[in-house]
Amino acid sequence: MSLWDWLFQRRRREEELDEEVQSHLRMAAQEHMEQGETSEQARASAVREFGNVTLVKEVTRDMWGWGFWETFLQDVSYGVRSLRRRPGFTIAAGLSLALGIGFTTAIYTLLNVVALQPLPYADAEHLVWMTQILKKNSADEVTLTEHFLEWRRQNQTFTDLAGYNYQTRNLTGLDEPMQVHTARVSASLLTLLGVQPVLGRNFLKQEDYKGHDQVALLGSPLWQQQFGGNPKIIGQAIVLDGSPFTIVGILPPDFAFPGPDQVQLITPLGKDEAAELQHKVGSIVFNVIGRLKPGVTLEQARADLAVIQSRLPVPPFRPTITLKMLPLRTYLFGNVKTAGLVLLTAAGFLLLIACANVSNLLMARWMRRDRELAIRSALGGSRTRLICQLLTESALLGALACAAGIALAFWARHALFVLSPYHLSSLRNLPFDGRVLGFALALGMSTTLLFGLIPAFRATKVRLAEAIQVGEATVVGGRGSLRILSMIAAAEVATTLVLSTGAGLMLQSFWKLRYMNLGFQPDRLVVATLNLSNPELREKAPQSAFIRELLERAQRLPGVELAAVTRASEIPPGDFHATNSFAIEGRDQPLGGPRPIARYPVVSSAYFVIMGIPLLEGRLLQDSDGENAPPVAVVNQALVRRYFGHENPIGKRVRTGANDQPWRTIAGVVGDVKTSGLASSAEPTIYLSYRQTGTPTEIGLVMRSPLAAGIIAPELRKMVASLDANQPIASIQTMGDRLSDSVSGPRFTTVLLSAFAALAIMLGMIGVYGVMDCRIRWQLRELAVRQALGARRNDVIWHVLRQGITIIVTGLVAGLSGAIGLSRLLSSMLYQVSVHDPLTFATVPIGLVSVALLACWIPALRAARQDPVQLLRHD
Amino acid sequence: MKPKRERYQNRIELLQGTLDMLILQTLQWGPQHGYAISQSIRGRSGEVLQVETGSLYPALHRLEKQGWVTSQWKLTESKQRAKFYRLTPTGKKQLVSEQARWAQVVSAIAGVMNPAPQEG
Repeated sequence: MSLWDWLFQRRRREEELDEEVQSHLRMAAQEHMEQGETSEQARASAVREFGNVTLVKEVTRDMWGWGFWETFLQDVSYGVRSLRRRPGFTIAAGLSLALGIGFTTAIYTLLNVVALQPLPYADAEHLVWMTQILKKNSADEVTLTEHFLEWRRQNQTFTDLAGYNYQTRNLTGLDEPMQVHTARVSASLLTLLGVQPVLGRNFLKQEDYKGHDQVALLGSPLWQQQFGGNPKIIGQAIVLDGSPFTIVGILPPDFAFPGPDQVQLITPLGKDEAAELQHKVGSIVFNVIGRLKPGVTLEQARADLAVIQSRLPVPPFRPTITLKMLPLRTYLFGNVKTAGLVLLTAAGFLLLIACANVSNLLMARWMRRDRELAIRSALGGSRTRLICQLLTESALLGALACAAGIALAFWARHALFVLSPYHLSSLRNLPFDGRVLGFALALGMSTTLLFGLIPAFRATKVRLAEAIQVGEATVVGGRGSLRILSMIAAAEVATTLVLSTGAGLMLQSFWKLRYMNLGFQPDRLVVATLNLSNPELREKAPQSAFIRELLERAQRLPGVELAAVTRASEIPPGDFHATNSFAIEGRDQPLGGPRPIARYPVVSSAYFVIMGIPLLEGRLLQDSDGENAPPVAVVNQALVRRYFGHENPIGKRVRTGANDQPWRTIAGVVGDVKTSGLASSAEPTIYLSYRQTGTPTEIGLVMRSPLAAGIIAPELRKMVASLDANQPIASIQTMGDRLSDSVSGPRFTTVLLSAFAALAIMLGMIGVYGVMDCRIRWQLRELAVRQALGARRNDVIWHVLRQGITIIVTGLVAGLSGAIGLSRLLSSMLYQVSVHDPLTFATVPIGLVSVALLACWIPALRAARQDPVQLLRHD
Repeated sequence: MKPKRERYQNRIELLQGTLDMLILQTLQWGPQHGYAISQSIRGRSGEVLQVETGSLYPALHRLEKQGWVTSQWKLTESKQRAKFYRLTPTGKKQLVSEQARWAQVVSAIAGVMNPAPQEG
């Protein structure tokens, strides 16, 4: 019966009852009138005989029985009253549950997107990302263009393949020059993804070729911001890195580029395909995306490409080539999914602890209500009814917590973008759809059952006689309840342990990642990057002059103590794909065999001092190492270790790049600096002076300054504009921010996991404390007797503490085995920390046990301080 | 279950279940409304059994819920609308078994009150 049917029927019966009573009164009155009374007298007599109308109606109504809804409403109002009577408990319990439900749901919104929701492309489950892994001395995930073209031509398993490269370019000709993140993509990429421009057209087939590729598709945000969303922009030209490009279309507003980096506009890949296929030129593409033919599996496609690959000629530098293929979703979201699963597990554990706590609190509370419960059951309240009533109270609490949790999740989910800034922000939204809502509701319901069922069953197991006779010692459920309470407390200790070891591992890993072995001093450094766009600056001499001028003016900026330049990709945390081969004089270089490789930062002499990179041998680059001085180089320890072993490298000569480059004498050896991302160790590096070599067009300006980047930025912009009005600054950041940004995902996971663990410890210890308190309350008289019989205070404390230790040890054993099992989940997220790291697995349990002992000791001490005489007299 | 209900159940001064039986018995001669039932019981008992409305109506509603009687709104002889209760077939069976039990109770009580001479 629905609530409405019930309400309707109820009203009809009410009216009928009223009419029945009235008809009774009328008939009685009539009879009185027949006996000669006046109509008024008759009425009065009838009413008098009938008795209290309201009361009669009420007892009659009772006979209708308690409809489901009426019982329900009654239980609800009873529950509300009960919750309101103890606002402290309600708020504490509701809040801890709401936090658990909220966090878990928020994280679920993320997993919903990365694992369940379709990618924003047509038929996205058929999209595959692939790359070659070119292994020389280190591995690069890039694909040779000629091989990509052969794959595309020969494969049997894909409807199409498309490649793309990222490129940061300067967009000029606007009010202010700006740097834009662009991608060069195969003309067919958008068609392959099933994406149509909202305005204009897609790239044409012939625009894929070099010489025809001066066209661009604008992303909607860039179009709105820089061109005011003007549709007439189509057909007009913009200037990228000094060359004109015709805008042919606008990408849809919800377009998400299928890669990890932000992309503001795209142009065609523009390869000289004929020359590539004839091995006249060799280039690379970073990413290849393919669409599987209907019915083709990833394995079939992999086998297909492997066969093609085996027939292809290997390029002159003789790398070993392996293939890597992933579903596009895994490529985009694999890491986020792992982090999300870890966080979901952690939040789930937190929720479990909150549940256990509320369960214990409820049970302890209901155990104290033993007499009320006993009387109610004596009055004929069936156990089922009592259980229903207590469960309704829990359900109210659960509903309250669920609502608050959903609100929290709705508000907090956006913080999760940090886990993968590019991928997720391109999706712009973590939708709060039916699935998420359903998840939250299911969570709320199972939570309610979890924390409500045990106490409801235990508390209603009343031993009537005892409950009414015995005084303050609570006996509802008796020793059995105490045992269950203790088991729940042990489970809390175990869960807390699992969470905090996980957090411990992540903290240690993050600490190592972010702060250890950087190889330089990151404090008081401000970093700006510039992408030199002026075509004149591609010549060596004007470029050197420009840089010298830039350095001089930078050092005169207020607050800047010292400035130096290097290649932008060499500023920590650095960049991948930046190694190149070099030659060591006097070593035989087998043709086509593996060659030594290194990174080439091109720096000004002050770079080492500013960065605090230690000199280990020889000397640093100096101002005297100018254009006309003998060419020199400084190498790092990693290079010496790999290529010189125990040989002294000082005085040896190396040649970087092509054979027309001069041999450079190694003048010094410096310490290793992490420049391939904070998670990778330093690679062999050769530092060159910018004055002795051509500089790259993307340069990084490093300044030692105690000021914040935001204060220096306007001055720096003004200064650069005075040097060249068309020169934008790509970024200005402190070194600290730069490093932290590069690990924002791990940092977020670590912070969240640590917060969960801290909350878990707090809740868990409250739980242990509560259970000990309850146990002691139960034993008060026993303890008093012990004291009266001569037990000293310490004996009493020890007696109580021993029970606590049983709980803690049980929890510890269960928790450790759980932690060892579950830490494997973290393995892919840990940096230089073993999943069974002994330090973490020793300190965390010790710390937790100490806190738990404290939580047992406080109630024990309080128990021992009670006056035994008073306690005994109380009965 | 509410304590309140228990309180009023105790007000039935007749033996537990007896009122139900009396009502069923009264209805055996045809459908009747509440007022007529109480008058009938009073009359037949020679004014001894005064059925209080606070017992009568709960009993009628209880019997209806148990399916022993059904109710219908009809006009009385004096053209008044009243709710008439009618015995159902299960109600008839119930009445038979109540009568049997009642006979048992009466003879049991009689046996206590007028003991037969003990065998010797």
